[in-house]
Amino acid sequence: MRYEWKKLGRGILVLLLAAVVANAWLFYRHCTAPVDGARYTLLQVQEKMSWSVQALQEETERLEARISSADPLEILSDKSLLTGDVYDERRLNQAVLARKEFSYREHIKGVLSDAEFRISSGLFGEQTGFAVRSMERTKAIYAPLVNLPVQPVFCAGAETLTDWTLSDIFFLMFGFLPPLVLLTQERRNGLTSLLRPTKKGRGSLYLRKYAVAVSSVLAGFVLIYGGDLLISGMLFGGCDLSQPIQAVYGFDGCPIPLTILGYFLLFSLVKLLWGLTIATIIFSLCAMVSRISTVFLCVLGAGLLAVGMSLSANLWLRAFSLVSLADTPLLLRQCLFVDFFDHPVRQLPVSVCFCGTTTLICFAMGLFAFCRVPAVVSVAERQKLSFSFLHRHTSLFLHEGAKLWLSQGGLLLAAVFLTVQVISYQNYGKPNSAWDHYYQQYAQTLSGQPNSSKDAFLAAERAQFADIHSQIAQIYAAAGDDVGTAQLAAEKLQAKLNPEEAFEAAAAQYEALQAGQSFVYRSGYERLFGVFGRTEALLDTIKLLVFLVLTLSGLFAIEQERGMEIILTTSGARKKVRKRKLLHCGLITLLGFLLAVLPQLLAVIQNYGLPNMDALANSLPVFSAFPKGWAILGALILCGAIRLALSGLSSAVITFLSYRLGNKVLTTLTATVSLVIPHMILLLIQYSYTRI
Amino acid sequence: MELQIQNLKKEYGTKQALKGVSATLTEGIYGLLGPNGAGKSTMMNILTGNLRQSAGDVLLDGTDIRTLDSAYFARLGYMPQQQTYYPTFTVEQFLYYIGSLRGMKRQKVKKRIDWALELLSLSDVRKKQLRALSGGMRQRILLAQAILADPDILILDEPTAGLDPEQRIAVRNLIAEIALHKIVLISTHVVSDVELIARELLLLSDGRLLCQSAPKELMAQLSNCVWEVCVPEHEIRKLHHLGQISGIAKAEDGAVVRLLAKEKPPYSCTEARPTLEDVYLYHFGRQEGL
Repeated sequence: MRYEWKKLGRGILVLLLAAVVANAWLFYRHCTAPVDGARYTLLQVQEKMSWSVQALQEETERLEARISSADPLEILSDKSLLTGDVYDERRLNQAVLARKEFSYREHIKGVLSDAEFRISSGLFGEQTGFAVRSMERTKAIYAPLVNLPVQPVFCAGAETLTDWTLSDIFFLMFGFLPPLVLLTQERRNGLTSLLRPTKKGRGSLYLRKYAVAVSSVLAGFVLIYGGDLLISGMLFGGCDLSQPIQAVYGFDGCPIPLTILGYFLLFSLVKLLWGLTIATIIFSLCAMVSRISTVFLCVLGAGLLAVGMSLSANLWLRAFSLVSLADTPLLLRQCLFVDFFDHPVRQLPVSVCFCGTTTLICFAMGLFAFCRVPAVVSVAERQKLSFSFLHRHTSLFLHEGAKLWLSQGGLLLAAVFLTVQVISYQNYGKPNSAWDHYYQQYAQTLSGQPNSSKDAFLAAERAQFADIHSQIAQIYAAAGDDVGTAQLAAEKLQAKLNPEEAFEAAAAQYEALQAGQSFVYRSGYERLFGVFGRTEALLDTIKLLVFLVLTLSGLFAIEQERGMEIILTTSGARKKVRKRKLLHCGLITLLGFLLAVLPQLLAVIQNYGLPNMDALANSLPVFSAFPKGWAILGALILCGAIRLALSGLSSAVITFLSYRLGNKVLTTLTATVSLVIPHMILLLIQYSYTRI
Repeated sequence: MELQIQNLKKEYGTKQALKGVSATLTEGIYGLLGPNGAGKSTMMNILTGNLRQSAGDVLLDGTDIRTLDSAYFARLGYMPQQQTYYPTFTVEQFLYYIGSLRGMKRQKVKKRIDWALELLSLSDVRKKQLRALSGGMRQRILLAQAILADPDILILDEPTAGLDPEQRIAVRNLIAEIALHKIVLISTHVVSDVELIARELLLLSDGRLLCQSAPKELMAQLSNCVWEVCVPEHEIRKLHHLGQISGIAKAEDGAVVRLLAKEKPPYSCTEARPTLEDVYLYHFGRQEGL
């Protein structure tokens, strides 16, 4: 096994080390950054947890008194407070009080009585049905926990470490990289045919390689989660591990009577099994497939499938989704059941069994492929009669194109990218709410620069709404206490007020216009550059980067891998070849950019429209930062140009790596780690903000 | 046409791979012989522009090849030792690609491809992918690409490695045929490949050029030094002390040993006609541990 480790080489070890460092840095930021959606940190929560309930209540009362006596828009900063802000300090105190005053016993009693009510209400079907049985099972599981001695404790390790999903991505790198080098790269270098005929060259060699993959997963687990634990310990200190895990904030729903130490051990086992399952799937894939781009596409496809399964309402699909299983704390925090012929079965054991079975099956499939599938793939002697005329030329540009687009699969990857984009954007959401409908109507009238007729229109509309409001008020006044009659009488008038909210939005937009600015229907622009649009753009960027990595990794590496550098030099055409390669690289980048950007743009234009492109860009809130003189079209072109330049920069990085490393597998891995994974992390962060 | 190598030196850190090699090559075939680590590959890499020398010059008709740059490469054909190719390219596609690298016109490339493939008996596989071909075929394709542009200087590194005897003879004859007005430098360990066709041999040892002479002259230097000794089998090991053994054949009453020794051995023996293998063994045998 020692030799297999050595084969990984320094480059892979550096990549893995970089993953450990990046994870540690991000985890440190996670620990010291404000808690989701709030403006206080966990360190401040820890500090306040040492206060008594009485002290917290007294301070909260003092803070509320200050707030009530101050102007609502006044900023109340106070350096003596932990957060430095009165409002934030009050929120912090309330959060800590909620933690300290939490009664586990009452909570469990509530769960049990709720289950009892649901069973007895008869609303959940027959007594032998899944719903009722699962509630009975819930009762049976939680009933023994009522008497658990739970006193709220602060355990930052459990709160931050086990809930930090980005560590999972870095952890996966330890399962992903070794198989690619030990199987895919070895096959590319033609070493399989050398190694497999040796005495220990089949099953035993596979086992040794697999042992490296397993030990890499173990090492990754220790380095990634151990690093997290170390940082957490250094920042927050330890906690009493003998306390029940239910005493930790957020774990009150844990259905298993575990100590905090027991929780950590169970978490480790489940997480390790999860990592091992994914590593084994990738390992067996690498044993079966020789092309690195095929491995990547299969992994991406499997990843998308797992994401789809995790979003499904079907609990079986969720139980079998490796993306759902990545959220190990969730499996331990809640009591979820899957329907097994009307019998509730706990999701955790189902998922664990699934992981174990998948690992065994994939291991066996990989072993079979490695031992039985011929190392030297018989090459079909394809007579390229139909296309051979394409190669009978002396255009270096076309030859380099053939290498990149045909031999290295650039054209195929572009077709896959196009297909993915078409599927992604074929059912793009239209503006179908009543608000959108009314806003669109007002926008048609108000479109363009302000003028007196539009002012008059707004005044007339406003007066009309005011009139309706006064009529409704009169009806209610006349009805007295008979509210029901008043509602009935005012129903028609109330319906006339439906456009009012959209009108107010349109009027506010119109009235905020400054000299030279125009009213522009903004829904399309907001869809394109708002939170959802930015998330979509980031997702498209990730697709683009994967496309560029898979297409361009071999751009210069192929010559070095095949020794063709020597012939290029002796023919004196090295510079010419380099120029043409870079030209094709530019074309690939441009194509990728168009495939990444156009579908979203076209979908927005088709469903929302992007009108008034000649208007000033700062007429729109999304372009408010643009200086005067910039038209919307100019702003759109600038945004596109920046994205194109960044795509070009990414291509330049991949091309440089391909040139310097001279190895397609290593280039693919390095480029993925340095370009794709940071964007995936950004996407995860953006998703979490969107959720908030 | 004259290729002058002047005091060529190459250092890799503290190790000197070439310690001042000087030679002059004119039209004709030259064999470059030497044991592993003698500096052959370094010298070839410098001549083909794949490596920069630490000192010394290579002049083509009096002009430094670094100054000539692309004009030099346009006159150079090189067949590397390692099998370099694009696996998914067909034979024809690969040669058209080489033609485009050399800036050749399409019509000329077509003619030259037909000629080279015919010459090297590769016409039947012109539409096959390179990865589907045998090692010997790929070796011949590498030779085809080297001669495609009809270069004035042809540098061949182990051109017959991996070929069967028939192909080896065919390739050797082909080289002799096309080299009439070219400078051809062949690096090889198979001395019989250059024995018949080489005008001169360059013997390189430990980064130094031992000599540059015609094969006949080198062989003549070994007259009265090659013996065929008849000894009983148990006496064979004793002959190691007398000289270098270049061959052993079984005889009726023991063995006939071909021995390189400056003095006549004290056994029943006859003087043998020196071959180029004897020359190689005489100069490099000790270095190769023989």
